Amino acid sequence: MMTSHLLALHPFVADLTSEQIVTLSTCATAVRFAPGALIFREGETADACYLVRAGQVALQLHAPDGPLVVETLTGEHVLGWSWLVPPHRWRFDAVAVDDVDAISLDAGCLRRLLGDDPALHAVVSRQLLAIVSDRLEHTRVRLLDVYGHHHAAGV
Amino acid sequence: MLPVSEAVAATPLAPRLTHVDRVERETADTVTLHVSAVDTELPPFAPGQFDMLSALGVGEVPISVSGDPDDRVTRQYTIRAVGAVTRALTSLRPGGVMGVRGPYGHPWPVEAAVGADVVVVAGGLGLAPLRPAIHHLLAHRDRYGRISILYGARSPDELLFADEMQRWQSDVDVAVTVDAPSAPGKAIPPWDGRVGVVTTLIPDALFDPHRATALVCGPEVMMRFTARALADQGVTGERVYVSLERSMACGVGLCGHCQLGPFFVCVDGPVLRHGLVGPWLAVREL
Ligand SMILES: Cc1cc2nc3c(=O)[nH]c(=O)nc-3n(C[C@H](O)[C@H](O)[C@H](O)COP(=O)(O)OP(=O)(O)OC[C@H]3O[C@@H](n4cnc5c(N)ncnc54)[C@H](O)[C@@H]3O)c2cc1C
Ligand code: FES
Repeated sequence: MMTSHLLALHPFVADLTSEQIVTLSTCATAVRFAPGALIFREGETADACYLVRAGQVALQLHAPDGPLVVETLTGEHVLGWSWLVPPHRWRFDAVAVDDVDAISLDAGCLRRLLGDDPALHAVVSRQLLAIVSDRLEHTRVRLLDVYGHHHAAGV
Repeated sequence: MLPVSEAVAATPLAPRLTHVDRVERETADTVTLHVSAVDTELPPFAPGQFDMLSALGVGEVPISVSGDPDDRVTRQYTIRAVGAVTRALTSLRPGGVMGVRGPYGHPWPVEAAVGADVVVVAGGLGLAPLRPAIHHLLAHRDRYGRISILYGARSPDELLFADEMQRWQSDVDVAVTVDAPSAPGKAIPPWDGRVGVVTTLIPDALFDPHRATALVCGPEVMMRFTARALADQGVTGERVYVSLERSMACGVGLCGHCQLGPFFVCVDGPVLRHGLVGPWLAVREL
């Protein structure tokens, strides 16, 4: 178990009460990944939620001619929500690009806490939904291919 | 009576003849032309202004000046071939001739930004109109606070001024991201940098949101999302400046081709406060 102090500094818990943060900290461990380290692998059981505190992570898919980077994430962010949604399997590989400091929340512990505390479940779900919708917006903008010629600004 | 060349130069709508000194290929469809005037010097320009360039016998188009505003001899234009005129211009070789009239339009507010942090956000070809402002900021580095250049492009092979960007890094913060680090069937240089939309660079950039000035140029969708992401960080639309593109004919406020609501983009812009012009960009079918 880690101190709730470190957890309290992460923006993910900004809307939680100090009691909820203490409760959540029972699932938390501080982890560090060296550059190039595999944080999780596509298809494996999603056994944690990572609250990244610093460092860059590449989300990538394995392809015959090498990994395809789908997105990079930096700064304080949340890595992985597959732990919440059955069948609880990672959809991508996550690789540390540089030194990555994170708080790992154990998925089983987290699901149990959320099951026991509907208020906590609501706050965490809302936070995750905001992150998912942000990432979806980014993906949609990339799909638009805004730098393509047909998107000349009003010309 | 004035000699013919002087009389022509004195007419605001008459192009000056220039010749191409150098052509630099930037990407598969984009080149930078270095040009100088055949007889008289080209008038100085301010960062963000544009010239009307004519490909002789083909037509005339507005193109932002992309070079150093302190260079009084050579003018640079970074042009993407998209249609008849830009194809003709990008096909010019050293020694080729083209017409230039200008400079026109409202520049980037580099003087108003003195003393504050500056965030430059560029998308794709949008780095070209921002480059003179970057030259200015670097030439007067001590007059500004933190300077961040955030640049997003479609893929690594479409990044402009990559070598120059390396040099800028020694004086200012530079962050670059691409939408697609690789593409099936396309040979693209290996990329180990950031992947994602340019707005994802904003939360990591270091600036004082209450005093920073943001200079933004790129496709309109990108500028809209950027203004929103800057607002999320506390930079209000009054300190966010965007450079707009509209179809133009005269370039001097006479024909109305470039009208956007109450603005003529050629004279009121191309650089406008997002706080002022944002609502008009949101009006559909304008
Ligand atoms: C103030 C201002 C500054 C500009 N600065 C630059 C610059 O620095 N470099 C540059 O390359 N262009 C710049 N442009 C855009 C440039 O003027 C147009 O690309 C040009 O007018 C197209 O003319 P054309 O005859 O080659 O193509 P057209 O025959 O007019 O158009 C051919 C096709 O290209 C599309 N198209 C038109 N304009 C653009 C565009 N901007 N981007 C992508 N597709 C387009 C049209 O919709 C059409 O489908 C600027 C425009 C403005 C208003
Ligand atoms: S281009 Fe003629 S008024 Fe602007």
